[in-house]
Amino acid sequence: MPTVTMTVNGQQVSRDVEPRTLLVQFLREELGLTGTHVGCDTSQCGACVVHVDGTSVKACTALAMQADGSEVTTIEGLANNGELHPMQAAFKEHHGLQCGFCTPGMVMSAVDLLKRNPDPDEDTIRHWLEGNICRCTGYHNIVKAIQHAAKEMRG
Amino acid sequence: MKPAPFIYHDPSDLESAMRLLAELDGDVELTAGGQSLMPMLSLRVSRPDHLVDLRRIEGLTGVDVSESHLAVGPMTTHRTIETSPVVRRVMPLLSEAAAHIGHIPIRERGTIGGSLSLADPTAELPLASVVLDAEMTTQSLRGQRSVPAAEFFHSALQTELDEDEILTRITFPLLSAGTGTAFAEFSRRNGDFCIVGVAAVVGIKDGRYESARIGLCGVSDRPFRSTEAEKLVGEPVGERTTNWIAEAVAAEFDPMDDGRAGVDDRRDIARALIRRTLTLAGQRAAAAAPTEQGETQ
Repeated sequence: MPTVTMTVNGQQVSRDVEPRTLLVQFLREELGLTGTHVGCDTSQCGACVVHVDGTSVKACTALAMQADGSEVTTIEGLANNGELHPMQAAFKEHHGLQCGFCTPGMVMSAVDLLKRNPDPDEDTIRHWLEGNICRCTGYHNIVKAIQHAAKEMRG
Repeated sequence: MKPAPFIYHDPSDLESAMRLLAELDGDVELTAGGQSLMPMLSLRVSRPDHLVDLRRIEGLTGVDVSESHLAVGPMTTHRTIETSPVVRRVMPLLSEAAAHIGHIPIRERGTIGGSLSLADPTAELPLASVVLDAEMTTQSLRGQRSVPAAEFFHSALQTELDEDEILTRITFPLLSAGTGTAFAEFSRRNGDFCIVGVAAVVGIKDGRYESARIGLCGVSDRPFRSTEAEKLVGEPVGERTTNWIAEAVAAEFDPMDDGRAGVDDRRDIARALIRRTLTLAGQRAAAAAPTEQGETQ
């Protein structure tokens, strides 16, 4: 089996994997990072969004092999010494989740958005989240949470 | 494991990739960004013996403008095509079409070469390539050839590419000054496979069409290029002309019924999108007319 090496949440990891291992399976089953969820398996729902070399990727639609040598950040990599990332804190504060299944993908997508656009309007946020499906909230509070996080992070 | 087992190859240069395609036995799939293939592997619709990944090969990405052409590397992502200032300036139809593909994370990985080689009949970039008269450069150990977009797409998921060939460059002739373009599509949700998409390219002089191209995706087994649209040449720009040509073009194709939209619905949507894109392309052509200082957008 080929060896894949990548940096996940700041730590270098190396594993022998079957080439057909999806990135999301690698994260969940090899590394035990089960915060990244598998929803649809076919890149529609966005529950599995992680960052690979700084861009949002649907981890169900990439092979672990294709992240070889990359820097990967998952939802587990956002908090700092037990303190929630401002985006996580905003989701909590503004009730941006109910069942929580889509939340890791929502938060990762939202963090990526603010990196590119620190002050997005509501339309921009909703457009950016087209690839993240939530069955509970109706998105209203998610948008609100992202707007508050943006304000917080701009300082 | 979701996908069925395969042997993975990630050659570091084009020569090695072409050699793999020429020599491997069994079913071989090429992957670029993998945004269509990976779900097909996970659903086991596709079960290749070998997967040849092009990601490590250098020189297959990027856009380059010359005096007469825009050349695009096949591994250039949809997101780059959507946001590149160069593409937006010289070939805005490509950027506008790319913005309709999937969601942003999908566009970050999906590539133009992957989309063209897959040839999904609802896909945006195959349509754009046909309407923009693109030339596809393909390479194999046997040599290089150039295929016009009009001949590249054979039917759903079938192209001119032979099993040992790789699409290595897509070349778009630059549009003359005073040309306007527009792309629009209808889908139930943003990011879904479109039901119908329309691309229009028009040149306008003194209130009349000097040139006109209209193409549609989602109405046939391959990108559809209207011949009726050529009748616009010499006609006055206006609502009457737009309505008349929308009727004429919508009568020209036999839409499919794939369970997502019926034949009549597809024609209705096509007519509406033709009117919309022609009007928009006309306005853009007028704004781009070389009467002032030339450069626009």
